[in-house]
Amino acid sequence: MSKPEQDVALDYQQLVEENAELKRSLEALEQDQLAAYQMQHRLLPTNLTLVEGFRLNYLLQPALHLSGDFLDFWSPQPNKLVFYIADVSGSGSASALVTILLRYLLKKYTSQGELSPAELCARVNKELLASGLEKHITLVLGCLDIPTKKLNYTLAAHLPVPLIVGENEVKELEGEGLPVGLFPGAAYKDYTCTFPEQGKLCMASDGVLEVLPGQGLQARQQEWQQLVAATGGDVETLLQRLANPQVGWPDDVTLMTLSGC
Amino acid sequence: MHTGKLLSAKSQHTFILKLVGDVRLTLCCTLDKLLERIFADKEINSFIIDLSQTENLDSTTLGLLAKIAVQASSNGLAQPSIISPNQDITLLLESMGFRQYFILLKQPLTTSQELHEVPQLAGSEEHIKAQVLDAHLTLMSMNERNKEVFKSVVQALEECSEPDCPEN
Repeated sequence: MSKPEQDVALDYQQLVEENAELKRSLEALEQDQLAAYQMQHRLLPTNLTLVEGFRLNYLLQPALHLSGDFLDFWSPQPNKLVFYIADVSGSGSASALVTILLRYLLKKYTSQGELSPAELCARVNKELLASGLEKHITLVLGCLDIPTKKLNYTLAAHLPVPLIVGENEVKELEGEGLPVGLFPGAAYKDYTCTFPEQGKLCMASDGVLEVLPGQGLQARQQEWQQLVAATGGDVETLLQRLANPQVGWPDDVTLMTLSGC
Repeated sequence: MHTGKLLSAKSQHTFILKLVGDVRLTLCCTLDKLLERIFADKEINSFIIDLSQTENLDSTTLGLLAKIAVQASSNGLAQPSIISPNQDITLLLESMGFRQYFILLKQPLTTSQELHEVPQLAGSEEHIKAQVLDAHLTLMSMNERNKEVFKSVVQALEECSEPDCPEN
């Protein structure tokens, strides 16, 4: 073998080794992501749970392994049901960590007896800003009083706006509010409505808007409302209508419904 | 969509930031560093964010823009302005509550001449009162109808400018 040939052979050998090393690193990272995904997944509520006569149905489809979307549903006191859907800015591991922090804070505050959604948002806002994590959250947070079917809720800049599916109509939950973790001293407002008999509350993350046709936010929100009206807000049917196997999911996509039984 | 780009300029005491194309996470580190530098610059006392050529903003970018308003307010500066002729982007900004923290404008600034002319929020209460009075006097002089409509307002304002006005 001539000198240049020897050099080429050496370079080739080195590339093979480096390639194998990169593959090992990538596998280790993937394993790590998968473990974190499983952990995040275990923190989600059990799907199709029935709590105090209300059924939760959801689907959480992360764009990567880990999701910046999260949701929960639990009963902190008899006759009370607290639920939320959240979308943390950004995506991937860093945002997923914030979903876990959010879950922890909300469980803690509600266990201390705080049930006003607006007050809960104000406290999380303060905590998140103080943490300096530089992440904000859009959120729908509600508290249902089971005997009276009275729903207290607050909206923190979450899109699409949650939809109430009644017997004959689908309408948006009224209200507005600032995202959580962005503006110091942000004030939130509690809104009230009555949960419709045999009705449904249909929520989603903004990833849903990205897979819908139409130009612009307003047009896509209208599409979303029409789709919910056409499917009665059924999660499985919505999923079938939204999925596009060619494109996949461009962003974290979450669907969540709460049905009165 | 076009890959995102950040453009910036400083004109006297005003900092202008223009976001072009599809602005995403990948640019956020650059933007974050840029903001650090801007807030260290004591000469700057007003901000204009131009979104007239922005196609899309992701949530992280929105978070950084919000930081400009938060920082400006804690430094005692005027509310930053955002120029957003794109209705869809304006809708997104409004859904995030930006109208409370920014002055949202529709029309883009096209010449550097106009950039200098952006009014600064300044002046004492007296100064503002005088301006309001002046504006209403001008309105009154425009036609008879205005004269009737604004007469009582002007009268009240004039009374308020007197030294014996209870507010003074």
